[in-house]
Amino acid sequence: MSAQGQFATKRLGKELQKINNSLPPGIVLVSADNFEEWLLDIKVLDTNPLYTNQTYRLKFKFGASYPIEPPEVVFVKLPDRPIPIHPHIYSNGIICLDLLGQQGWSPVQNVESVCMSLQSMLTGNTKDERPPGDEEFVRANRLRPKDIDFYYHDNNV
Amino acid sequence: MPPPNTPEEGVLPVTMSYRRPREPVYSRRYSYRRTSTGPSVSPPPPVRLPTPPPAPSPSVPDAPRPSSATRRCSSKCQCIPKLDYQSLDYEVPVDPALQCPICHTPFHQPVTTRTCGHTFCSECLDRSLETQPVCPIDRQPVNPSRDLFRARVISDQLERLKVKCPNKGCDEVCTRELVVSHFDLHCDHTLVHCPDPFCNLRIPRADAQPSSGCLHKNTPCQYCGADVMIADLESHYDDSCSGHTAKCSHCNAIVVRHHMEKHLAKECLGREIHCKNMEYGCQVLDRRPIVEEHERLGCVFEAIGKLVLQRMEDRARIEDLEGRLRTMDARAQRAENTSTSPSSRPRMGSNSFMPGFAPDANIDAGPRTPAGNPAWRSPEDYMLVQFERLEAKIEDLQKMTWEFDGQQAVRQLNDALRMQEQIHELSNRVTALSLQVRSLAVNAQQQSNAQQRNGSSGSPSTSSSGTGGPGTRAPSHEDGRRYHSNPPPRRNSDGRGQHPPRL
Repeated sequence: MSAQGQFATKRLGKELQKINNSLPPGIVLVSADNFEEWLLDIKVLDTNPLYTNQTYRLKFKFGASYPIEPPEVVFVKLPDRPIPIHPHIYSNGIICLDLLGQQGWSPVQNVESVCMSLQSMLTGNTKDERPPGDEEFVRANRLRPKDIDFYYHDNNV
Repeated sequence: MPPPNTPEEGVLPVTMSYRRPREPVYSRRYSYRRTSTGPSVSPPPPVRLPTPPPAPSPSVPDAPRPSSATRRCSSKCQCIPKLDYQSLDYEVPVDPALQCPICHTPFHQPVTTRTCGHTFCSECLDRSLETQPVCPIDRQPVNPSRDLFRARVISDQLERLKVKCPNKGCDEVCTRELVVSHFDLHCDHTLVHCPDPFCNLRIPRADAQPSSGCLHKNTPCQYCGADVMIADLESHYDDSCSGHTAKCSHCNAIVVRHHMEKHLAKECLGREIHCKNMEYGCQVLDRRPIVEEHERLGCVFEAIGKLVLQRMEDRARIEDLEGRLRTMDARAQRAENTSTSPSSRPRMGSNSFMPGFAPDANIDAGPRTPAGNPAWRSPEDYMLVQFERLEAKIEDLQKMTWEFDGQQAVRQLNDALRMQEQIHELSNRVTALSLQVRSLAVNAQQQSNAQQRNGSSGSPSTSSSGTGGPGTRAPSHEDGRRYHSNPPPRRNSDGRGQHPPRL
């Protein structure tokens, strides 16, 4: 394992330790069997009618250069875990959020803070719609989320 | 999640692919150059893992070894893997404010940004600035060469924290400041180079004795026949050896073979053992539980054992005393011989002057006939006798010195008293003389005053004795009233004025 990989492993170990001790309300750790892929469930706690009584599954994928590079975070679709409707979330689970891009990411962010950001992103949303060109994107995209050059067309949501 | 302090996590890999722009002191001191050749570029297998890794190729005896020219460093260089600060285990939880927001561990060599005052480990911040030259917290632009400084107070605080040694098996707990030197120089569990200059592997410092040679050679396991590295034998016996357990022939328990001797001596319940008082005559020989019960209830031979021990002590004491008595006897006899012999030491009288320096025949008498004198059986005896004589002589001399001292002191005291009396007498006389002189002076003044008075009322020219003072001239051009009110100073012919010299 490279030195960078070790750095990532140690940092994730610390994070896992903290997550096992306590997590903010609405965030649950589902599985963290290794230091490459973790699954978490998030809920929106307030009474936003778009997301009431729903739980969403998040998949984190960590590279060797985490936390210098952002993790890859997507929503996963399961029978009881839908993809939340949001103008920045494609129906295949890919999230268009500057925090998760190279530019917006900062190594002081962590799994917990990303989950909380997504929670608040959903909480503040009022539009019951997918991003423009969602169907086209979902059909055509074969790229990994980190390689997609998102155009952040709307900073208000 | 693996335990926090396994060796593979607690120690950075020996090959460092990551290079930082500014290297802190520690990494420069212990930078580790990778080997250029040889099949051993993979990091060394950690010693005493629960499951030893498959034997690496360089340890196979006939595998090509790197030549001594490709050896990384001289034999004196220790090339210890760098202490990994991120894996240190702190004795008490560290305040989150003292933890780096990037690595989530207590700061190591903290640096603070000048622009926004945020603090990070220098290594972590360097990594982050490589991708984006901004503060990771608030995205203010940061120039690594200009906008960073080291806040001593933070690192000082952290260096005082107590940490555990990162080596597995080491119980050392010390301040973080000292753990580096403990790890680098003292800890027996730190992996150092194999003492064999041709071996590239590492071994705990305690096992790296030049006398024991390279422990990375394979040896067939004595139980299962598998090839095992000598350094890993212990863990092999404990865990992976296929024939590592055996049935105890006495109690049928399954025991790790390696510990069979210990089992038989201390644990086995089926083997017959003797009572611990066997040497004092106890005949009990039975299985361990029975013997233990017998010992617990009180073996009669225990008292006998105590007696035997006591007797042995007594005997030792008696022997010691006998030896002393013999020497005392010898000395007494010697003393007797010395006092009766013709050349016995004469008592030195205190009335004779300096008897110690008189020509001493008895000192010289000894060496001439040491063998002839029955009291001197050995040169040591002779020397001893001489010593005693000299000692006595020194004592006499001391006494004499004290006497002389006393006499001298008394004489001095007498002299001093006499002198004091004389001085007293003289001072009395001087006082009397001074009184006389003063009375004389007073008389003389009275006389002169009387003369003056007579002179001023009668003829002024008769008063003086020819000194020509102002008194002779003044009446010529001044009237007499002036003299009455303000008499001029007069000088007597004998030099004594109105103020005679005091004594």
